[in-house]
Amino acid sequence: MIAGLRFFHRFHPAQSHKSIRMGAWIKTWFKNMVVGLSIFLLFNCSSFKTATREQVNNQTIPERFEIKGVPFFGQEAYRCGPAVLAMALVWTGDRVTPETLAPETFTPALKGSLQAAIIGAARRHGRIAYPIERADLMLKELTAGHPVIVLQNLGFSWSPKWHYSLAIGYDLAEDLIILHSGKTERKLMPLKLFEKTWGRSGHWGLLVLPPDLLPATATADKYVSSIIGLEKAQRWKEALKAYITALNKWPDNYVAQIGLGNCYYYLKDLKSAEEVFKSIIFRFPDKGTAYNNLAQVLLDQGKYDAAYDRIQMAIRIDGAAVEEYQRTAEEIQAKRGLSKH
Amino acid sequence: MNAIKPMKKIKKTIGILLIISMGWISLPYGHGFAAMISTEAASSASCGQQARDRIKSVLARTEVQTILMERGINIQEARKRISSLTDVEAVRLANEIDTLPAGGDGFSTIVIASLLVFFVLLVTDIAGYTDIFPFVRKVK
Repeated sequence: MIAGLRFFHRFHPAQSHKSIRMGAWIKTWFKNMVVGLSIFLLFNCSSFKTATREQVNNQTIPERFEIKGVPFFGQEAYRCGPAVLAMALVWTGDRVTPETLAPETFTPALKGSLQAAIIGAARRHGRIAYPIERADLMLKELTAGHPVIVLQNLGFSWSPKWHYSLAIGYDLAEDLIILHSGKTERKLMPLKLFEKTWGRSGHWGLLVLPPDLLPATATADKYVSSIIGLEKAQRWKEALKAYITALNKWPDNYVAQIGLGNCYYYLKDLKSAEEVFKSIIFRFPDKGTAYNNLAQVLLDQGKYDAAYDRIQMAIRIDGAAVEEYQRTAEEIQAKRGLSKH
Repeated sequence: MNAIKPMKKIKKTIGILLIISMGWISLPYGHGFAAMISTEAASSASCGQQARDRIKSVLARTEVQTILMERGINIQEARKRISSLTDVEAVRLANEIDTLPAGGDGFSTIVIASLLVFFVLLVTDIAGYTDIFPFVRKVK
């Protein structure tokens, strides 16, 4: 419910509107805090136990499971981030070592690696970085054969000792989790201790997967947004593969279709991009994005009149992004003008 | 004076080169990528719509409606206001509702209803559509 509190602050009227006087500001803040806190306390008192064991009991997963053949790199001082990411990347077939990854992930001043750096590095290597934030999801991924990077706090909340490990298996009969951690290959850690140390990072977990492999627990929104991360790293080829993976599972996903078309475009495969955007228009005739992007694809092929028709359609049907469409329209006209000289 | 001349020449050449190269970038090719709408932009727009739909489906539940009506809130009006939430606001509210424990007990219904009341009304109060929260100063 901490997230709930943050939400209350986010919608703080004082942030949204300047004309609120100071007195009202404090009153509002106080009221927000009271409402937020009471909800927080209520939930704290009600049964909000999410212990690993309980989630496990409801699952239909084998009692013990271990992924065989996951490579191991012993870490050097403070360098658990590069070591763990190297294990995950090598497992996906990428040839890296902790040494080659260190410049991308390790921040010497912090004596550690930030989560964002781990995610970014995985994407720069053309891999899907997919967040895992619950124990039951992690166990399911393990049984699907996907190792999971986890961030643990081995110290206290007030004196943290952050540490990345790679979960590769578990044994529920013995209440153990199996980790590649620090200098230890196949470290066995009691599940209870693991849950505590992992819980202190807010259950931060990460799957690193090649773009043709879908997470066992994948949901459409989460998976598609992790592909958008690949696009941001400009790994168009891998993003394209991942969009195809996504569309195999969720053929009607609108955003994945747009992404597929965009990737073809950035890979300069204008013919395929054109086909994709045309099929999106056929399936989602009331959304402007595909018209706009198809107009751009046609424009790049010198088909000025067809491009202009499409962008006029976009302007007609979709009011939300009309400014962007107008810009595209202007550009088409400018280029059409140039071509006639 | 003569020693400066070659320097000037170099500067001039660099200047001309820069003008040409910048012109090259901004003319036909440079615009190319700018006009594509990114997957991310398409995604946030469609997420906003999905979130609004989700909130509306919560609002459609009779037990939630009962609570809202008990507090004197018009369901039609609430629905209209959900439509006026921005994408970011709608996604945050929908996520908030989703992270609540799912049980069908009366307690979580009350919490969901209060969330709806609080956010939908507070946010629109600020925009000046309503006057439910007297401590909020309106946009005039």
